[in-house]
Amino acid sequence: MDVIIKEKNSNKISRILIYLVLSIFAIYFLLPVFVMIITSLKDINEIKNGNILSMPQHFTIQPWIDAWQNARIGASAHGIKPYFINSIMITVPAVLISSIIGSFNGYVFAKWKFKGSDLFFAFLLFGCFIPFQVILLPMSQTLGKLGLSQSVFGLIFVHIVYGISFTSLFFRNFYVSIPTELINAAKIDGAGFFRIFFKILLPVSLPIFMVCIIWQMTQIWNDFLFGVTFSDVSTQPVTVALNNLVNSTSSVKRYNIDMAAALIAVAPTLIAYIVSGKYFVKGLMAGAVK
Amino acid sequence: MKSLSIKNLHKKYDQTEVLRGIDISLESGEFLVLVGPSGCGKSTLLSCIAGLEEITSGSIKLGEKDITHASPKDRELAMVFQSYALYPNMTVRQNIEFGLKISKYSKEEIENRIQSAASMLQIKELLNRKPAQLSGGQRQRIAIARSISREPSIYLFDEPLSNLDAELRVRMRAEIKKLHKKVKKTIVYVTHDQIEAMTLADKIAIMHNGTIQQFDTPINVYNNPCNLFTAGFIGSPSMNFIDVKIQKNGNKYFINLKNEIQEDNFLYLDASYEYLEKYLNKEVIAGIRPEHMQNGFRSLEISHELQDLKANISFSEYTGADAFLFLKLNDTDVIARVSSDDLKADGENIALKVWTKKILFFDKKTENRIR
Repeated sequence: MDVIIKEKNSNKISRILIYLVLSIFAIYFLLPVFVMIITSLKDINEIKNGNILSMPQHFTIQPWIDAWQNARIGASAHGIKPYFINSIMITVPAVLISSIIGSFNGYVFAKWKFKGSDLFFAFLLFGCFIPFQVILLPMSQTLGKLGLSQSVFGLIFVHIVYGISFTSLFFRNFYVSIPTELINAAKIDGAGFFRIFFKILLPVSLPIFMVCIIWQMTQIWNDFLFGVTFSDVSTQPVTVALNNLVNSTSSVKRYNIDMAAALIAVAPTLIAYIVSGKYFVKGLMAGAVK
Repeated sequence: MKSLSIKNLHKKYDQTEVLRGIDISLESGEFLVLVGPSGCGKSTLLSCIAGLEEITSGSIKLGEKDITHASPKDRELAMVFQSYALYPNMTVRQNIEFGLKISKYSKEEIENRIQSAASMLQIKELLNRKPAQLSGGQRQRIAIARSISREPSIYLFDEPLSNLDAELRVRMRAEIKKLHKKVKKTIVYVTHDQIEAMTLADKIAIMHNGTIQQFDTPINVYNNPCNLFTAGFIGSPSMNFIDVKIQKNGNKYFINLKNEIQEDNFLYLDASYEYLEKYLNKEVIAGIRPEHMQNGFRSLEISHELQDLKANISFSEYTGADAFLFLKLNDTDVIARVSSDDLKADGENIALKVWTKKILFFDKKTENRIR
């Protein structure tokens, strides 16, 4: 009996310790976000008085409105709204197209192996490890030759090319875990390459599609380097605009608007994670186990 | 209903040859079982017949049609897989329909085929379920129904029962046998389970290292194995192999099986063993099935073919109807299958009878049967 009670107690203590440590880390990570939120809800005068860490005395959403449509970025004063729209215009097609191409690639690499396909796949994987900076120059030349430089289409193109390595890898690992007997049964039933893909594999691919979409969306939405390199004033994505907003100082540093703009800029990826996070873990595991 | 003829089939993966010269000729309506240890090439051979694997050389004919290079769908065959391979996103009905729709049959024709396949396998009430909602046995039924609905000339089964539990396996085995009687189609069936092979087959092909060791009826495979491998592979517990020296006394050949305490057991062989002449005074391998060394031979007709064997029981295994005695003869561990009545204790001596007429001999070098 004593032993059991002791064990129970030590269990309880270790539980409490675990929660304590976790809470400390959670607070540590969430504190900056908290400061951002309260700052974005304060009047600029309140901030100027030096109380950046205290709770706002008068709540106001004016900084959010200003950040969205009135703040001065470079020469224009339309807030980050046009650049937010740019980011959507870049992200949506780039995510979808790279995921679709990736699913086809993954299907071929997993189930229609050809001579040298493993080598081909290995080369494709290099794409996952090449640092962004390395391809800046050749890519800008390529975009120039294609007539896509400084345009939204150029950025879409870059993100698709860069994303295919990752999406192909995700889809291949997912499809490898699907029994080949299923493909063979369909072949005997008379289904061809495309019918097997669309009727048999695609209907079970939702988890991995979610992984790809979240991954690609985070990558593309948060990208700064490609955005700053391959865009101009009117086509820059929201990350670049945010940087310009913070840097284009007038007489006073308007921290509240900066914070609001930053929160707006990270909102889409944050929401995507919250909505479909469970698919992300499930989908990533699907390829790993088995 | 068509015959199957495979000639000199070879299959190589890069440098490794997994099938080396397979010849099979199967009458239409026959049930062929490919059996062998894992890695012997039996599943590869089935994939080659199905057209899922391109063969390196040789030819495959179905009836009069050469299908060596035909695509799987043009081979008039249906296949049942080990993992059932049901499309997980489709209902049972859609699973059966899938191939039929691709083949562009009319709506009524498809419905007729679904209904007849479903009633034959008693799965009518499952038609609207998804595979995930079914038990293993039900899934296997659906997989078989799907293949029946294609009305193929030949059925291929790839270890269809190995994922089922023991009881269900026996039931499904009987159903497959019944099904074959009903549809009377040619079947090629892969298994590593020799009981399945023996019970289902009209013809058994025993495979080893990418070759067919013996292609014969179950009875012949059991009674007349052509070499050491097939003799050892079929039968459970497997045949005992004992090194013996062929000796002659007058015009009668005999062998000696010394027991644990070096007591002689001379076994005299009758006139049908004349072929042993060229092995006189040489060592050969004697093959004796466990049931041919026992204490309960009932038939009086064979009583003059029985000879005494004195042995010492190392230990015994009681299995219910029978008991397996582990003995030592000529310093080799052997198993005798005896009646479990009056079972003697371990370490005791026992007097058994050997049905000498059933002893087979194998060449020590070539491992082929001497006959």
